[in-house]
Amino acid sequence: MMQHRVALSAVAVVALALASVSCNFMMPTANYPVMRQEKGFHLIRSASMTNVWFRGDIKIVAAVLDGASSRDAVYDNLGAYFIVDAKDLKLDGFFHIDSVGLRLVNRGSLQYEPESMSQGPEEGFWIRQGGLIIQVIDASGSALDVAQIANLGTVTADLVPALWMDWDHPPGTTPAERYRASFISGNDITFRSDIDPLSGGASPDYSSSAARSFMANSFEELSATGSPYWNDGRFEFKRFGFSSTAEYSWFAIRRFDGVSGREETRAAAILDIEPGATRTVRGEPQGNAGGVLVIRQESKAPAIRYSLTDGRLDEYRKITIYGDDAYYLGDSLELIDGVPTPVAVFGAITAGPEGKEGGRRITASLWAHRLSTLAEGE
Amino acid sequence: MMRKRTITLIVVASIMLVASCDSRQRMATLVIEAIHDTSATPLNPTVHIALSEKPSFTEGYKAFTASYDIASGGSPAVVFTGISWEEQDRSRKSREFWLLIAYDTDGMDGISEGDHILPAMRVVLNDGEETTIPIIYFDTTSLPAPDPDFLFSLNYSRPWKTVRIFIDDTSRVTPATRLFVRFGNLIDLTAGFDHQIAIGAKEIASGLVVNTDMPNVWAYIDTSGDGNLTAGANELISSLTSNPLNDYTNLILYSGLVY
Repeated sequence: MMQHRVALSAVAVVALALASVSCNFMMPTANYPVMRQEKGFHLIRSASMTNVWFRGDIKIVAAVLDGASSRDAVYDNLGAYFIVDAKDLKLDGFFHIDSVGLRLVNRGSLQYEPESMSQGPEEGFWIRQGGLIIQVIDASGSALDVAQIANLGTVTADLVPALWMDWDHPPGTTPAERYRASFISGNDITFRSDIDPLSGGASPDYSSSAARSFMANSFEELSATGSPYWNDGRFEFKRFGFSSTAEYSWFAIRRFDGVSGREETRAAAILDIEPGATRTVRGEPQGNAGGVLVIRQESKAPAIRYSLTDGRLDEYRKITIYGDDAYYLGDSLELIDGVPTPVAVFGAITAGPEGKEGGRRITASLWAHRLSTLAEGE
Repeated sequence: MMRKRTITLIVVASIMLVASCDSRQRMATLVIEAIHDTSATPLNPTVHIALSEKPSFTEGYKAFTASYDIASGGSPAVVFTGISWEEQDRSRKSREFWLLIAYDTDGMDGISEGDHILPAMRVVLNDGEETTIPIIYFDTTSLPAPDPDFLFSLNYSRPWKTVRIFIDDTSRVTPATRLFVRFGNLIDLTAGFDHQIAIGAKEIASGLVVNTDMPNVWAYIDTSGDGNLTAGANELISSLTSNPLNDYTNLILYSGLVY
C-alpha cells in the first residue's frame, strides 16, 4: 500500500514538473552564443551586447552587409546591420556589427520600411522610405540618411514609377549591369537596367507579361478562392533583387492575414532570357549569392533552413544555419585561408538567458561560405 | 484518501499542462443578423463583407469574408466563427477589428474604384464571446432627405479620415434610435449635407474610417425615434456646429448637449 502511494506521489510530482516547464518542454533552444555551423562555413566575426530592456524572443526582420566594408581591400572590417523585432519590445532601430563590436542604433525620425532593406555599394544600407530609396548609415549610434539613391517616381524618363530598384555587383567582378529597376504595368512586370541608378535606364529591357496575375494565383495557403472580391490579384511585393551574372530577377511576394497573423511568403523569379515565364516557390528569398538565390524555408530555431536555387527556382541543395534566428546578408570578398575569396555571408543571432540586470545578452555572428562551392557543398 | 489527493494533483497538473502553452490565444465569433437597403427606391444589391485587421478596403489578405444578398430580406445571418488571434498581453481579452462592406458596382469581380462602400466600421470582439450586430444599413441611392443614407464611392485619390465616436451610453444606439453621422461642406450640417450614414447597432457605433474629401463632420442620435433630426426632441448632438474633419476627429455625444 505504501509503495503504491509513493508511486502515485511520484507521478504527481512528475506531472507538476511537466506543467511548470511545459512551454519549454521539448522545444529546441540555442545553447551557445556562437553556435557551430555546417561544414564549409567560416566564422568571420561575432560580437555581443547586453540589452537590459530586451527580455522576449528575437526575430530578424531584415539584415544586410555593409556595402562598403564588404568590398574593401583590407578584408578585416566586414560589417552588417540587423533590423530585429522582439516580441516583448519593439526595438526601434537596428543592430550594427563591425570590427568594433555590436551596438544598437536608434532609428530616430526616419520612417523607412524595415523589410525593404538591401545592400548598396557604399557605407550603410539601402532602404525604402515612401517612394524613395535612401542610404542609411550608423552615425555614432543614430540612423542617418546620407543620400537619396533613387526616387521611384522618376527613376526613368517615362512617367511609369518604378516598383523597386536594386544593386548587384558580385565580389571580384565588374558587371556591365549594376542597377536594375522593376516596373508594374497592369499585369506585366518590366525591368530596366543600367550602370547608373539615375540615368534613365536604357537597355537591356525585359518584360514579363501577366507576371503579376501569375504571382497572385500562385499562393497556396492564402489563396483568393472563396473570397475573390477582396483578394483576387492582390498581394504585396516585399522585396526585389536580381543576379547580374545569372541574369534573372527575383521578388519576395507576400499575403498576410492580419486577423490571425497567418502569412504566406513566396519567392518569384523571372529569367531575362525567358521573360514570359514566371516561377514561384514557397519561402522567403533573402538575397542572391552571385547566381544562387537564397530562400529561407519555414523552420524554427535553432535550425534555420534555406533552399539554394537557380533562376528557374530549381533547387541545388538545402543548408541550415544555427541560431535563434538567421538571415542571408549578401556576398563579399573575405580572406579564407589567407586568400581573398568571394563568399556568401549569413548572419545569426542568439539571445542568452536573462541576466541580473534584467536583460538578455544578444550575440551576432557572421558566417562566410565560398561562393564557388555554395551550390554544390564542400 | 491519499489516492484521491494524488489523482486530484494529477488532474490539476494536466489542466495546467494543456492550458499553459495556449494562454495567449484568443477566439471570438461575429454575427451580422441583417443588412437593409432603406432607400425609397432600394437597389437591394448583393454586398461583400470582410472583417479586417485594418480599416483598408484594398490592403492585406481578407480571411473572413462573405457575401449577403440584401434582396432576399431574410438572407441567413453572416456568421464569422473561429476568429482567432494571439495576444501578447495576457490581461487583454478584446481586440479591435474593422468591418468592411462594399457593393461591386462595375461587376469586375474585384474591389475597384467606384464601388459603393460604407465607411470601415470599428468593431471590438471579446475572447470567448459572440458579438451580434442586429442590423446594418446599406443604401444605394442618392436621394435627398428623408431618405438620407448616402454611400461613398471608393476613390483611391481621396484621403481616409478616422472618426472616433464617444457616446456616454452606447445602448442609446438601436434600430429604433439610430446614430446618424453626416459629412459635408457646410459649417452647419443640421440642414444640408452630402453624406449621411445611419448606424442602428451599438457594436459598430464607436468609430469609422471614411474615404472622403468633405471638410466637416457632425453626428446626432435620433432619440425620438422618428427617423429625423427633430428640434425640441432632445436629440443628442455631437456639437452645436460641425467639427472639421481631420485625419482623426473625435465626436462626443452625451445628454449634456441636445438639439
